[in-house]
Amino acid sequence: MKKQLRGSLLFGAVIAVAVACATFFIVEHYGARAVSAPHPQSVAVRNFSGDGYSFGIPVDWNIERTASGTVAVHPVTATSGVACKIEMSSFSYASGTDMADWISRRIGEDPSLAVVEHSTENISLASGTGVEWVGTIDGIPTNLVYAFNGGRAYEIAPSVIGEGPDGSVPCDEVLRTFLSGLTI
Amino acid sequence: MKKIPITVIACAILVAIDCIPAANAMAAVKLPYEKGKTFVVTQGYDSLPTHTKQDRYALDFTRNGCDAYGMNVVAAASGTVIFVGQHGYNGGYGTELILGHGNNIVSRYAHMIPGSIMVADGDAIRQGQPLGLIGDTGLVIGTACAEHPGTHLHFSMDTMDGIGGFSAYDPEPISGYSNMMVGKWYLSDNGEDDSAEIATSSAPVASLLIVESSTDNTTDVAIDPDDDVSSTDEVALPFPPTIPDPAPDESAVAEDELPIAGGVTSVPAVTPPEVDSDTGAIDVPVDTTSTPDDVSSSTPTSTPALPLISTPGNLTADFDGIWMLLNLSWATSTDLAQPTDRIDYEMNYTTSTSFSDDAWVAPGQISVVVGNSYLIGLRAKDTDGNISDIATTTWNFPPGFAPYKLSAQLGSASQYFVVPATSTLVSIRIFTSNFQTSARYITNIFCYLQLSDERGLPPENVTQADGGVSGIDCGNSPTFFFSSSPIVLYPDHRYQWTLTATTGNPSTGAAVYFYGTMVNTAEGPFSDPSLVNAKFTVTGDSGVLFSN
Repeated sequence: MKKQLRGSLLFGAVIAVAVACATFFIVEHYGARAVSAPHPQSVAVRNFSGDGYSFGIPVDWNIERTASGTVAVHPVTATSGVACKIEMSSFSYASGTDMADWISRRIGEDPSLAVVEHSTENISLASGTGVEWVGTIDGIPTNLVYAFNGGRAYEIAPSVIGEGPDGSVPCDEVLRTFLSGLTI
Repeated sequence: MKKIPITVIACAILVAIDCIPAANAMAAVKLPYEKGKTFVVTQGYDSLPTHTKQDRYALDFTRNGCDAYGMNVVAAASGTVIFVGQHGYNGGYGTELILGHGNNIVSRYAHMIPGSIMVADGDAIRQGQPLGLIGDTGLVIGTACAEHPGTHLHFSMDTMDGIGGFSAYDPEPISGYSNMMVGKWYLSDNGEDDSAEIATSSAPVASLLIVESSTDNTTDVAIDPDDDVSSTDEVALPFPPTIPDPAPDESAVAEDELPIAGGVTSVPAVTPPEVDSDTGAIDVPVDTTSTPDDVSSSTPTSTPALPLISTPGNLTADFDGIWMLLNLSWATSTDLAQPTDRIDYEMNYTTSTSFSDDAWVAPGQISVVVGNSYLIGLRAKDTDGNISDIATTTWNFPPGFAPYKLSAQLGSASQYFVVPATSTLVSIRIFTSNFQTSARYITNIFCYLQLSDERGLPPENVTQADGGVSGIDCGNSPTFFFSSSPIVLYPDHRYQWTLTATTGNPSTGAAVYFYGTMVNTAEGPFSDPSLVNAKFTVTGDSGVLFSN
């Protein structure tokens, strides 16, 4: 019995070492800017690739895609009780264009919107970086993430589509999960 | 050649709303969906969180389940397109369109399906003309439609002050309705005359289908049919009086818009309709087995001699072995009888030689079995139920694409070893010809080798500072050399090599997974015990240190 227990402990240690080692390697490999390692081996992911990007999301999330380069992901609301929708759209982007200018033009595209910027900051994706825009649009608090890759620009927009039992709006958590699996 | 006055050209190019004579500016506003259809209001006027300020007179319309998704949005009044946002968030409106109606009055149609807008900036639009398809883009909420949560049409009207400001504009009466309220169903009378010329400029783009292979069967959310279902539903008094839309076939779940943050998440409930003795609203028994039977004066009454829908063509299927995606593409169809009808596509797939009639499904996931040949079919269907011929193609999983075990999926492969004597490491060769990966072929995948010394937690990285030997093609059992930075291996240490692979550039490439079909033995297991061991050789300056 003791031997069996010791064997189990040893096996567990081996697994822990392997996972730690893999995580260490991945972080080292992808650099300090990575927000997290690609999904651990024990987490089943659904992979998806589009025009210049790919991402992995939990298997219990739904993916919507149209032929026009827009994709939306959302956790299954019935099982989680709360959900956010993350919508990602692709735009053409002329190489050399100032990213800040591009974002300003993009957000101000609809002439009817009242846009107030609070902050912008660089953030990390699974691979690559993005810019998170925080502000209000028509008075509604808004977070938008933009990423650029060659001739494409990507707009990532979270929307609340439910609430937690405690009234919380955990859309940010879903957004971070999505970004941690996103490669641009 | 007829000369066109420059003022007319200017009117056509510049913001056209001020160029439309006031006398013809806008007839009575009508409901922004097709004639004969009924929709329920899920967020009404002057209500939190979003129908405030310039959207104070906004209305959100939807139908039960996913029924509204993909239905036509039509112009509430004649006018000119002044803004099209085909992609992206657009301040929460998603895919949207704004029409100018003269006298600085505009109408907005939001949350449509990306790419579905059928008109362009500057187009002159007739009342009732299709504009795009109802969707769930932008800031929406809702649980009635699990596949497209929050599907609804946001409709509002504003006046522009000429200096960039917008103010809410009361659109009522709309199709004769006044005091429109949440929970009420409204029948549209908004359709083009039969003699009117149809002026759509392009068909919705819908040529790519992606079918994913997944480890689970989770796709849809079941909606409890008992939720909020009333045995009778009121239909708001139609205008003009006509046959009311049968009541909803399943629960009416409110859909709405919400801020991204801030915690405001109240969802207005859809009030079960009641009989109104004053207005003569009608009780309609709920048919829970069918979708609403929309009234349409244009429904064909006889079977056509020829298919009304052209066959979708050029159907092709391709399997992306890296991402486990089955990509189908085809040439879109045309409804020859009614070009403005929405066309849906249905697919069928079988390992047999013919399709089962009851196996036609909306595009979705296919659980494929490796090694089979699949017959794939595609057909189109319009809103009247007319069906096209079937376009077919076959697709085979390539020989040698081994059955994969997702349970044994590894982000990287690794193995332990010890060496018999102290030596300077020269190379490690991994016999990748024994690997199976999530990619169809192991060639053209870049491999990265990490070597660790398991003397502590985490194991010490003993390879180069860049995290390992990188950029070597995985195919043909690559050898990783360590000559540029001599590493001493000791017999009383245990080492682990870890092989990671990506496609393309290491900084942007996609991860590749290994699967366990190896047949060799070695000391120590893979990190996943369900896999057998990999063959590898470790060579030092004194010769082979370890080989299995």
